[in-house]
Amino acid sequence: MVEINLALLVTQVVTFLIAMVIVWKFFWGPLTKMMQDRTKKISSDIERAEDGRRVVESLEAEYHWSLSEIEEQARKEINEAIRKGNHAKEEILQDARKEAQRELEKARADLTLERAQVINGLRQQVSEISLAALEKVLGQGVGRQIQKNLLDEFITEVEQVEKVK
Amino acid sequence: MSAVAESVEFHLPFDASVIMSILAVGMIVLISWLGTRKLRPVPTGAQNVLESILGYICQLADDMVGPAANKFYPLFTMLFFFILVSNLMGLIPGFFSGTSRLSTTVGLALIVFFSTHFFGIKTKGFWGYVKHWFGPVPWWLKPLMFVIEFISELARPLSLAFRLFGNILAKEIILGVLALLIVLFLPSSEIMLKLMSVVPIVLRPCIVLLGILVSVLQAFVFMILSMLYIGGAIQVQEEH
Repeated sequence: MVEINLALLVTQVVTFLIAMVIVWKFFWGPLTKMMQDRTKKISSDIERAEDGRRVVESLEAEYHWSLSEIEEQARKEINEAIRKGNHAKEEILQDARKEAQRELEKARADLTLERAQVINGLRQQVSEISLAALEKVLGQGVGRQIQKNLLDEFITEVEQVEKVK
Repeated sequence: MSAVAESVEFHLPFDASVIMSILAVGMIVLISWLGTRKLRPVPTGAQNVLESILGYICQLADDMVGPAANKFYPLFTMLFFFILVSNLMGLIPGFFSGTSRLSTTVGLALIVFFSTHFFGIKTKGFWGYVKHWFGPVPWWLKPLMFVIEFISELARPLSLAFRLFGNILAKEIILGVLALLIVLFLPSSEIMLKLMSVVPIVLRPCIVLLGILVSVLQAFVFMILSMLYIGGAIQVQEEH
């Protein structure tokens, strides 16, 4: 039991070495190789996934950048449109005001003209009525031109008095 | 020859340790076949268990031996499984551990011893390898250093062999003695002796459990020390 038997020792060593070669070649070797291949595959898959993640991140950053660019551009265009709108509004309002002013002035001019015409007409009528009344009161004919001159003189005096007032 | 009557070898006229070793190898082949008969990328069942153990041993070898560890995977894995199965076989009634024979343990230790020096010399060259034994000491201390290193190198296989042999033989003897006590006390007509048989009946399962622990531990220790020795011999080359 405690002694060493050389034949047994050699047999044990040979048994062990043969068993080691057989078991490794047919069972553990293929299994270990498969484990190593799997480890490599997992590593490469993780690396690929990491690369994919990086690409996605860069695309996302690019997308955000583009989006902010587009937003900035849109904001600028909206502001420009608002500015142009306001400018156009101002122009339209100014044109409208000028037009209104012109219309107003024209209306005033027309009104003044109308007024002058009406006044002239009225003066004509008043003078005629006054002549007719004068004729009736005097009962005799006074020279038509004299009457008219008298009447015109009178009206002019009345107008001057009114202007002085 | 076995010292205890429980062992089948006790009744045989020859040393059956080689038969036990061949049986151990047969069991390893059976376990390996069960674990690898349908290799799947996603392991299940026996493949999962085998992969876990092999993966752990290979990882340990990588850590302790370095980049060249893959050359020694077969040796380390076979050492662990062979010693473990041989140790555990001694727990089966009638069988005994092949590793409870000095011829077996010395054989295993010599395999590690020669592997260590063979690969050390192969990696570094003969003089480069031997030069390391003189150590980084003043020239007048170098002969003493060489003697110390030489004795230390010779002591390694001895310690490997006797540690395993002593532990497993002790376990076998205790189990055998307890079995013998049960056989002696239980059939006895005396009440006292009958009562005393309770002690070995209770104690034997405990020793079997302890035996399982010792079996795993000794297989692991033998494998780790082998890695350490071979790793040390190879890493000497890398240091210089």
